[in-house]
Amino acid sequence: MSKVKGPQDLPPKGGYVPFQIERIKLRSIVTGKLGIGIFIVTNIIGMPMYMHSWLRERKLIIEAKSRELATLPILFAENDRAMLKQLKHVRELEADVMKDFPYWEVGTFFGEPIYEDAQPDTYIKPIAEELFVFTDPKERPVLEYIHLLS
Amino acid sequence: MTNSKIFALPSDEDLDTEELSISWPYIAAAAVFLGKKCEWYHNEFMLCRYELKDPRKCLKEGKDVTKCAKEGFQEIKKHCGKEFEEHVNCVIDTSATGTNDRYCSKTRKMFDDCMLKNLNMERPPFGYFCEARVHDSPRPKPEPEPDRFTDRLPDPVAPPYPPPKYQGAAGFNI
Repeated sequence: MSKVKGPQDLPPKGGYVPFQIERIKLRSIVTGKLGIGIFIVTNIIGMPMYMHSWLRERKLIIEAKSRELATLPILFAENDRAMLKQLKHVRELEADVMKDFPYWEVGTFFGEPIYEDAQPDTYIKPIAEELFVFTDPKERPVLEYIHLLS
Repeated sequence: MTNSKIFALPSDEDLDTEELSISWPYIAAAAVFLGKKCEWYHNEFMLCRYELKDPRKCLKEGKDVTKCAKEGFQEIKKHCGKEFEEHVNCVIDTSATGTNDRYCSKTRKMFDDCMLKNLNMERPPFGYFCEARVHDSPRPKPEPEPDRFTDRLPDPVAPPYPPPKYQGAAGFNI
């Protein structure tokens, strides 16, 4: 293999092409000035349209809120009575359930009240757990305030 | 606390009353008229609830509210029952929550006309119940709770302030 026939590979005439070392920029469709222009134009056109529909929607929101505030006293009146009835019922039930348990006092933990710092006859809004202690978990009211989301 | 023996619950006679046996969409549809008709009772009840923060003390006001609403519903049923029913059916069909009447302007117009003609009750102006209102109640104003903390800081001085000791705190007192 010492003798190789044929012409040796040589560089092309005029030398190799120089290396590409300069940056090739990507083809840009939306340039900066065009982008700013589109932003301004869409805002100028869209803002009055948005304002128009927002004012209309706001009127509907105020009307719905007005309707809701008108219903609240009727609902609260009934709700208060139902809650007090349920409290009475739960108290009777607890007295019946715990009647054989020594030293148990209804509504307290062996005479120790729930709230240390409250006056004896203060009303503190009971939590749902307190109202539905003896209720089957499947029968508990879920989504109590779903109607207020309208 | 609310369930202990010390907490006095009202008797059954105080609690029992004729409740509204009608569902939520009907109440919501008639609410603006009822709110206008029973405005004084509603304000009295809500003020009582807000001031006393105790439902046991506002049972009478609550009963008045329910009674007034019941009378209002009976009037509506007697004079505008058909229109009311149509309007509520439309609201139930078009609204998820059974309250929104934005697609029922036609039936609402009929209902309003009927109410104006038969019962002389006009729909309150736009946003009427969102406005702040002043209510003059015959019930005396509740006294503020006495402060139970004995070792607290003294109260600040009342508005006619004494003259400042060192030419006031504002400015450069060199």
